[in-house]
Amino acid sequence: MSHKIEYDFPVHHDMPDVHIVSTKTFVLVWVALMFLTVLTVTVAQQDLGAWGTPIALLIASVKASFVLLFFMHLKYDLAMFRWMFLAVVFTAAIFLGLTFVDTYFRYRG
Amino acid sequence: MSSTYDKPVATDSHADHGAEGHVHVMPYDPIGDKLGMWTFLFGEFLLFFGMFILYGVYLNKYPHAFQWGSGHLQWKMGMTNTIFLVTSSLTMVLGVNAMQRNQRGKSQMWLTITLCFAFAFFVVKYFEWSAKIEHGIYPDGIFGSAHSHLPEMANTPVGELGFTDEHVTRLKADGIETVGKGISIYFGLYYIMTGLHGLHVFLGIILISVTMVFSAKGKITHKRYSWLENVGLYWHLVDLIWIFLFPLFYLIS
Repeated sequence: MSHKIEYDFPVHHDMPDVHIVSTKTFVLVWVALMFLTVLTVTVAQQDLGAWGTPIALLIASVKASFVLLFFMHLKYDLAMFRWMFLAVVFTAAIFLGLTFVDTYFRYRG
Repeated sequence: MSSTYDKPVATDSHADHGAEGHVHVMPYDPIGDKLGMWTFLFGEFLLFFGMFILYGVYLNKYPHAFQWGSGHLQWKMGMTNTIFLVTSSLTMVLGVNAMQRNQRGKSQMWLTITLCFAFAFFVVKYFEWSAKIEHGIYPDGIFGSAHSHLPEMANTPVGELGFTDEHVTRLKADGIETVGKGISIYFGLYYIMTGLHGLHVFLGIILISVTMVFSAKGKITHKRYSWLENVGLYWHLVDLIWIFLFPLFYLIS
């Protein structure tokens, strides 16, 4: 639900509409986060060998996406914020990727 | 409602305002405020990201030492703290939501509950860390290389500290002959990363408390809540970092 606010003090010339997310949406996101927390603990107790850490990171990433999109409002905010976030993740991914290409082969040389 | 956020800003001396004593009032700009906050949060992200890289590299180098270390953390405490932080993120966002709906009392109630969870997080951390410290697991403790009372501990063969034969075999496969090597790195990273995160929780407590004072004084309203929203963003980032710290430290054994 979006609405315009009548401001009675000086504001920026281009004010966004205010978007209010329903309480139900937030509670459902919380339920999903709780479920994923239990899931990650349950999965960790299985013997998955080398897959254990990637699966744990995948679940953590899904949880992080829920927090970012709903709690941190990225889903509803200006596209600019989403692009900024993706630029940061992209930069981090390059850093991460190159580091692991290096270390993975270095210790197996 | 006028707000004390309208800090009068002295304009340039050559500004053509005409009327004497005229000051320019900074207009309320929630997008600009949020842009600043996100930029700060990206910096925070990269600060922790660097440590996660370090963690990843050493996990790759000493996988069995890290598994052994992880087996000595209490995952139930980590999980309890995950539940506390995730739930506090919900109560934080409900606090912002209530303010948007012009329900100040409700907003303050949710912030109070958020604070309670933040303190509960520290209670768990206290028990967790004091148990570790009692066992001599702390920076430069029994796994350190220069502990004044136990200089020989770091050079203790891995078999002599309650390790099973299986563990010893695995650790030796990683090239770890003494406990001072990969295991001390694991606990060092554990303390620095959860410690820095804990510092952020502490700062969050201060920020939320200040926000509650602002809210009580009417500085935050349903028309002007970007401070509250930004403190919320900060608190969610603290939750976000823990979401990654929890499986990496507690669940890799």
